[in-house]
Amino acid sequence: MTSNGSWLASVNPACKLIAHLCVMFMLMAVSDPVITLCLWLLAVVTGIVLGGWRIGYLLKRLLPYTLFFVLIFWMLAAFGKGEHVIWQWAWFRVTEESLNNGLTIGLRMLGFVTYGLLFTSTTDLTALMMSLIHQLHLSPKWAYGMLAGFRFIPLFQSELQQMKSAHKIRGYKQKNSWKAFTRYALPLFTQGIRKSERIAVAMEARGFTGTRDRTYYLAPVMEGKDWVYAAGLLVVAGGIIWLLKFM
Amino acid sequence: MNWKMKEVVLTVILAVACGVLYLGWSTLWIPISALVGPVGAGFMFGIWIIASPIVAYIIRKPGAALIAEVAAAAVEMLTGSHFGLSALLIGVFQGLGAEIAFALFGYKRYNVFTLMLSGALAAVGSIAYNLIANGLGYYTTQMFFLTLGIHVISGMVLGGLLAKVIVEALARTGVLNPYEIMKSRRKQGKSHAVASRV
Repeated sequence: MTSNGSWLASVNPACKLIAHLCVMFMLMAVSDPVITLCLWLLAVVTGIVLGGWRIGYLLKRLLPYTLFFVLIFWMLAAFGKGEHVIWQWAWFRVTEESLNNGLTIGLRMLGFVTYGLLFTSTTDLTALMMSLIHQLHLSPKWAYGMLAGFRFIPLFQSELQQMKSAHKIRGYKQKNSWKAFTRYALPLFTQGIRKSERIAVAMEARGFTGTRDRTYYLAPVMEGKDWVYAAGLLVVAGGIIWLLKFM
Repeated sequence: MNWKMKEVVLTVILAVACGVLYLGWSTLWIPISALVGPVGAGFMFGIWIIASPIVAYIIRKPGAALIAEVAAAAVEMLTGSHFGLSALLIGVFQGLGAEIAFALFGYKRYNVFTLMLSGALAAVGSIAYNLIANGLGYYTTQMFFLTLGIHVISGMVLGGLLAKVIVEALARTGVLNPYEIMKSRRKQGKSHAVASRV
């Protein structure tokens, strides 16, 4: 997770996270497909205007989710409750209400994904952790522990790939996914535990005790523009809901 | 909470490993749920909560189950899950559910029963979130209880029981020797030894 250097990337990460979570709660409270669509469009527009998203990037990141969207829509449309039956076959029963609900939930999921992407594509991991320490009073022990741990994501991914190749070259064929799971999970966990012990020893050896009483090379503060972004996003989202619901 | 640095990093790294597995599992979930429907695909649910029982079983501290699940969910979100920010929120619900199971016994009992209970309660937490956010309330009543049942069973087997199997396998390799799980076992072993000598 690295920031992409847009204006949105300069907003305080903790503030941004909370603002996006608030919009998510709004999305959860809305049960109308049109309002949900507008809130999703708000995320897309914010991403393009403030988040530095190119159209190509947007399509590349969001297209895979359209399959997911269709799936969620179908699940609710065919298995949901409702009175006005439109089409019925075997155990599938499509009604007006279920179509409406399916559309709402599908768009809501798309909204969750887009607000998540808006956050992850514009936030630097180190800045986020520092912001969690300073703004949300997370203990440095956990923040630095997580920073150390998150460095292992790419390592684990490449290790998993390596194990797969090693198995392949020795002629191991994946018979069922249950066996394959333990075969890959076990070495991954053992390696992880060994590494975690070494990291902890290294951190303590370098004088890291995990107390709050320390110096920071990065100390994010809340500025005017952070408040403006959070308030702006919430006011516009709230305005959309109010306008479409009561006008 | 007097967490040692060793335990903090262990929790985070196991959560990261689980998060990477979750992500793979999430990708697998899409084609399977397209094939057998969302209710049928519920049997895959248990893997997504495995971080809680694994870490709580090894560390045996209050809060371990919740922290591990939230951290694993955060990793899944940061590495680009198709559930977006909701992956993080659902992690909080599942972690809280799993935590209750260990809290019920005052963080004293760690056996197959509590591990499976934590899996079941994590499933309940996940269903509670789905009820609020993902429109599970729009399903027919029959469909809803079927989904709940499948999730609970999957949480017990693929979450609790599998966690037990994995941790026992890890314990045999000896990497867990410096942690609470083996410490308490050594203590028990020692008391047995003393008793037999007396």
